[in-house]
Amino acid sequence: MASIVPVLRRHFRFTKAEVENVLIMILAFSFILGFDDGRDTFNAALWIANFLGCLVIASLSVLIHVCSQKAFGILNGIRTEQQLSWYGIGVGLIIAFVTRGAVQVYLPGSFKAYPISTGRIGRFRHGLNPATIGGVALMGPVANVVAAMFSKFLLFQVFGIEWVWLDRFIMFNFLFALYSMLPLPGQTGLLVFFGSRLWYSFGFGTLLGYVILFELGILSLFGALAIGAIVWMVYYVFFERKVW
Amino acid sequence: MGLTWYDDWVEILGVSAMLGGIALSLITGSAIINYIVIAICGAMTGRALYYRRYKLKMWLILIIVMFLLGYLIGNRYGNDAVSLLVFALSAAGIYRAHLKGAME
Repeated sequence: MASIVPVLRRHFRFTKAEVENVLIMILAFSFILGFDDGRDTFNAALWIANFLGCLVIASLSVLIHVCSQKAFGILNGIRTEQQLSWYGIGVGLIIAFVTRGAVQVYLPGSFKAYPISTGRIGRFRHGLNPATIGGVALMGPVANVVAAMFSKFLLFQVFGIEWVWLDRFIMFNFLFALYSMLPLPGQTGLLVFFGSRLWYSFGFGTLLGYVILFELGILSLFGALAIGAIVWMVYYVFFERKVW
Repeated sequence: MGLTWYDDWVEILGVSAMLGGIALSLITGSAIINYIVIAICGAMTGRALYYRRYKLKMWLILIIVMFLLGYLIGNRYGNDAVSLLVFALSAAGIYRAHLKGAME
């Protein structure tokens, strides 16, 4: 632990372009999240108040996603630079406008990876490889689900706080994690998919399993891992074993 | 002699884009939303055209035109000419913003 902190302190930096990308992403996602404020008639003041709440939720979630990938990347000798998916944001905005906020699509984009030469000394292989990048990419969605899980556990189960914004935070994180895991061009999920198809099937199955169990009112990490293992096994038996 | 993906992928994608355009414009609920949606589509088109400006192929233009045609066929609320103008202005604006280096 003592050696992790100085490494993070030295390499944990955001470039100017990266800050711009993250800010645009946060604004777009808050707009999509807050598009439908649940009122029958439009009131600008109330809509802006709702938007500000959504801005806080989107900022927290996007920062959790980006920072966890960056930190895990640095520990693996990779410097990540967050990229924006303009097409993803465009599609999300179009769907939000057309469905009036009923369907929310969050496609965050991916990252560019650069090796930190001193950070990869002694590692096999020394250079960048899809498996390492895929593992780093997977940390973003996992961090979002873990953040939702802990906020639910800590605030609701331990302190007994029932708050509508907490539910929105949890739901946003789940949707964000699931959408970012889709193997679409320019998305995080594609990096995980290219890293390892089996890890992708296990990771996506676990995340999806946790969200489904959560919606059914069951908070079970082991249940989610079991669903992930089943998805992994089904994918291996019916596709991977025969095709490759 | 049916369609095959290998030979006829442009036609298949074009018709899909046209059907997507019709569906998209049919589910828009008002003229304002119609113009906003077509402006976002124009912006995405402008970006795509910028990144393929040195290797522009006919298939991209065909798919864009088919999408636009589908959108105008399904257009219920907005004016067709205004929609076309908004699309063109948005595409040109984003293309120019990319040329000036304002967007990456």
